[in-house]
Amino acid sequence: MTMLEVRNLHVTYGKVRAVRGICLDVAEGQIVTLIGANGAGKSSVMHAICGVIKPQAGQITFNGRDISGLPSHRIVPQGIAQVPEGRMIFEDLTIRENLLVGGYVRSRGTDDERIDEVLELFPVLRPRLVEPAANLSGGQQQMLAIARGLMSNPAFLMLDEPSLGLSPKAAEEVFDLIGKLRASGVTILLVEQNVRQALAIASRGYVLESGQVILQGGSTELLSDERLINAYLGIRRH
Amino acid sequence: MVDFIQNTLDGIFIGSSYALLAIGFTLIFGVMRRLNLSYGPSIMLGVFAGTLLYIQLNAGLLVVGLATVVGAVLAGLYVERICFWAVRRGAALASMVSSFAIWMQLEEAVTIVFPDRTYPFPPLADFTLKLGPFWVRGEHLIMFICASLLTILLHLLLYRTRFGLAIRAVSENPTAAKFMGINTGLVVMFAFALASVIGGVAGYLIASTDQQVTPLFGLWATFKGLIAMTLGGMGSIPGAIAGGLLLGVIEAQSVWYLGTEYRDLVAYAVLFAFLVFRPGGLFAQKSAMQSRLAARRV
Repeated sequence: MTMLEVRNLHVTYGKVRAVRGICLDVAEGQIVTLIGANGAGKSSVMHAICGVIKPQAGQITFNGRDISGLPSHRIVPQGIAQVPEGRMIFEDLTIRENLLVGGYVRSRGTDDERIDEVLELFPVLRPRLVEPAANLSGGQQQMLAIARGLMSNPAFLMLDEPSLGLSPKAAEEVFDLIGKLRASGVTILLVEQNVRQALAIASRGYVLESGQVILQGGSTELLSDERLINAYLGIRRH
Repeated sequence: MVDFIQNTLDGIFIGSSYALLAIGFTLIFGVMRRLNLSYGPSIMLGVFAGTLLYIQLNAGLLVVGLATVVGAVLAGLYVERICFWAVRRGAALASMVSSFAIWMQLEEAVTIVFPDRTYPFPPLADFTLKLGPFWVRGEHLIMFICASLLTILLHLLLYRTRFGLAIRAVSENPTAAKFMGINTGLVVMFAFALASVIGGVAGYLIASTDQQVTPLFGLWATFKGLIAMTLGGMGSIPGAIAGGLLLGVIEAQSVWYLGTEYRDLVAYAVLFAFLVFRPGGLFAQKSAMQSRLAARRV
């Protein structure tokens, strides 16, 4: 069943047209990945879906409900969460407070239980809850950013460059975690600069260029597509 | 030595009201990263709402106090809608300039309704305590106690409630807060209202100590709050408290040792010295440095 449906999405920043008529579908339980160079419009698509920016035109439907143009505080409670690029954790707040902010849209009173549930996946954070988040290493900050995103118990999670700037080992852990999340039933939209690894874990992919979808299909299909190999997998360079 | 201690005590008492003004400034600066020059004038409007009830209806202390706070909050929200909500994010200079324009507007409006230079404001207390060789004015003591209580309440609100957490999250990173589904516009409005409540109480305490108000109160409050906030470190609440108390003590000492006419001169000189030698203030913002570091790390 299609969980998220994006139709003819347009996003502009002033005169810059970042997204020009993108359509995409994410089925429940799938991992779908967006591929493309910097500035192709991947993040803009995600930002429009979670309502941090208002699309200029187009329709976004989540679980059959039209959410296009709603502000994020009306979208996040419906079960959509985003782990933004660059992690954006609150370094002045403690790790526990970061998680509480992540669960801000939840009904009151059950915060501690939810923190407990989420920390099952992130045992490294548990003993450090009262520390300021600034104390964490880059990899741990990324873990915290994902944990914070899970606090609202989203059905649909968007991850924007989760392995960016991490050591290979930490990146490996992030990918393991994404696999675990899918297994637990979370639907995921993933933007990743490591295209091979992203396609290995995703079931579908969309290739974006200058704000348009130029290629789409199943992961195995894309992994053997000549154009994608040339442009992103770096086997042959122009 | 007795004089020096007496001046320091007086300075701390007066400085507690400066600290409140600086806290209000810093709260707004924290969530908006923009300066609200109209903060003082919106408090002045509240004070005149209080004085109006006092003159016209001979209202009691409590009613005058309530009217002052409510007036300051309404004026504060008006400023927020006009100068900050309507002016889009990123246009920090436009916001500051329009807050200056609204300042003039509020001052004009009050001058039209209250054409005289000064108006009476009911005193809060009329007693003086003698502690050993030191004297403490009743109003000053009440001012200090109220300011301390209000600061404690604010601390509890910011660190013990969900909404306080949202204010701190928006202060640190409004975009990230938006990603978490926080209604940042609402949080900013609430922070403005909160700053106005604090400013209203400060305005009430100051006006009842002076027992009079003038339309220039807005200018005065903006200056004292801005200087105290800058001395302490913009965006830091402990800094605002320290900056307020420091400003109070500096003023009290210079009045005693140099004369009243030197009070503001010395305060500005100290401000200048801080801007040159310690531009971050007493409590230089860690977070600004941290986010720069984080940006580099990505």
